[in-house]
Amino acid sequence: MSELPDPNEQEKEKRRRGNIFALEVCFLAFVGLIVVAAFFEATSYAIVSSRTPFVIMVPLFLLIVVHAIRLWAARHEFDPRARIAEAFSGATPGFNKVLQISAMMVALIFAIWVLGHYAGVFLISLILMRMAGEKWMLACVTAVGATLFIYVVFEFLFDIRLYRGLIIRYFLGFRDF
Amino acid sequence: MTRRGFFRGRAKIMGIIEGMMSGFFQSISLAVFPYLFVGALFGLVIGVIPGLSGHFAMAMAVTFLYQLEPGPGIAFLLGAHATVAQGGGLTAILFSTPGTGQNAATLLDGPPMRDKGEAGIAVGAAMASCFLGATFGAVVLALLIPVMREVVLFFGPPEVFVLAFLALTFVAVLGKEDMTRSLIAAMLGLLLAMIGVDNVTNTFRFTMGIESLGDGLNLVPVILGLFAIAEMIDLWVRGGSLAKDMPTALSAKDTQKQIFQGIGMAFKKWWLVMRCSAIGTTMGLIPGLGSAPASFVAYGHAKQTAKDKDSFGKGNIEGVIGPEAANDAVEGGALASTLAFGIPGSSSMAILLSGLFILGLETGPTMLNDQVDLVFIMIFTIIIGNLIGTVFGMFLVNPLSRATSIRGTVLVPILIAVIATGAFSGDRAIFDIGIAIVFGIIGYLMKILNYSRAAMLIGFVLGFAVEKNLYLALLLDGPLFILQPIPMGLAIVTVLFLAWNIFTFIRARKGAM
Repeated sequence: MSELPDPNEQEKEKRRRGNIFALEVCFLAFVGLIVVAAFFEATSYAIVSSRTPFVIMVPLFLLIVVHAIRLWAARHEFDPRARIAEAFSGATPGFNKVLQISAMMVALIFAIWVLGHYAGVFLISLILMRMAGEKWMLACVTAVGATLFIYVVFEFLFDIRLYRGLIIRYFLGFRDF
Repeated sequence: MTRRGFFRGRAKIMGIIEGMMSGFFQSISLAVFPYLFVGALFGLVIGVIPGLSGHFAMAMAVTFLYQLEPGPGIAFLLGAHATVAQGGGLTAILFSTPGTGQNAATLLDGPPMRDKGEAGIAVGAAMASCFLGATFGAVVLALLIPVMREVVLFFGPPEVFVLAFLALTFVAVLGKEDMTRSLIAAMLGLLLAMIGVDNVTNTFRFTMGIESLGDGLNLVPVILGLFAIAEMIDLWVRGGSLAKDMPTALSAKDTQKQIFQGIGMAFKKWWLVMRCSAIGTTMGLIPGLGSAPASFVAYGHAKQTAKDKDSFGKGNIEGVIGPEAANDAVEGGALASTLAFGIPGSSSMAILLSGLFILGLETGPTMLNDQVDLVFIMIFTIIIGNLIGTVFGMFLVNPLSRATSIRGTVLVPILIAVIATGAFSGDRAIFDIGIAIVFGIIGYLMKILNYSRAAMLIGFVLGFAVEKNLYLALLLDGPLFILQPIPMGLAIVTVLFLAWNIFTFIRARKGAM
């Protein structure tokens, strides 16, 4: 006798597919807008510069329209607006995690820019591991180890001088930011 | 054959032999071998960690190329790529978790062998098959050099332009992702390559007033974003340990004995290895197919030709030997089309091509005629790299397997730090770290929405070549360049191939309804 599917699992799967659908609608809309903007931008270039972009954009736009029609046909199966609202209200754990890691990566850039590469890398690695619930000792040791590894490999072995940061550069006399 | 033809032919063969000797001695020289060694070990470790694949290893390896000479750089890059599948086979067998997508077929018989107490035999057979398959692919590549040299002379700007679209179509259609989405990704990649200064008119295109985009998007940050940061975001979101179960240590003595037994069995079944390697190499020549389909086709072939078909799926060693031989043999075929035409057929080859650009090397007739020693460095790197992977894999089964117990929450921050540093190191620009992060988010979205990142990267890598060759084709032959025999033939193949696949797709959908 075959097992009946668990209704909870079915519901979870339906929600997951709904989330993916909503995400794709947003992604395709974003890509479509970029292509349209690029198309209008390309009309301002000389024909020699714009012909290759046009050769690429025309079939690309057609493909986006075809795919958008496919998604439009499936819209009744899911409720993208509700899913998007849910995601922005913080009720989608996966989306929250993506936002979290993305925000930390953006913070990494700022930390590197202001504090310098080593301090930025150490700080953000430490914060990320603590956010994930790792113990202080492990997080500190790992962050120090990673920073040291980067120093040894990049600066010592490959002679790549990493960015010192606005603060150190200011005290070194640099005034171009 | 005329006297002149005889001497010309002999000169060509002597040139290849000279290149082969030079390539071999360079591969084992002190200037190159250490990089090959480190690259091979790096690839082995990356291959063991589930979720990190061959293109991740190559993406990370590319960041170091700015500081290396061509020989060591190629050895490091290809050495890393050569051993990823071996590491992946190890985890597929020991933990039922393929380290890379190309080891998925090994799941069919590897874990059942483990469950029967034959884990060591499976590991030994897998490693030896990888080495033999890679050697086969490398030898085929070497034998193809004289053929490629002649064929490539027929390909001028019109031919290369149309071939690029053919390759992109193949990659988009034959890849595991959805066809429409992959075609969108491929065209997006081509469009991204248009950002920057147009070399003909010096017009700034799509730079949005950002000075840093004047030279276009840098390859390394784009690669790191699409294939490295995207994986990190995925690991972070998935959370938990990388392998579902903690690795149980195998008894060292028993394991070694079994491993040698497994190696012996791979050599004993040399004819199966040769056939599956031939399948892998042939499929590697076709852009877009990749090693995962090759390993499944090889598995199917091994099963069909086996005496006891029923034992497949229950721990038959041939079910491990076949796919592992094929997925390493793919590289020889894939390299052939990449080196000859500069048209990569997979994300790994696109990253390799990017690496060659960074090293100042140009593929095509120049490389095949004047730098054939570099081609042979690649060939010997594949062979020696796989040998290193086999030897170390055999003796480091237990320590390597422990790498899978590293938590994603510890691994992700470390790797993001290293990736960000790698993105910075090319042009010493913080802007490039931003590019890597943006493409990391895009790459992650593409991964979960089933858009092909490989197609996007290949489109991006080919974009410059497409524009340059279109410009030259129009200059030399006018708008009717497409009517020449080879471009016409390639264009017809592209259209027919696409039309056939669209027709099949529509028919399948109607059948499902």
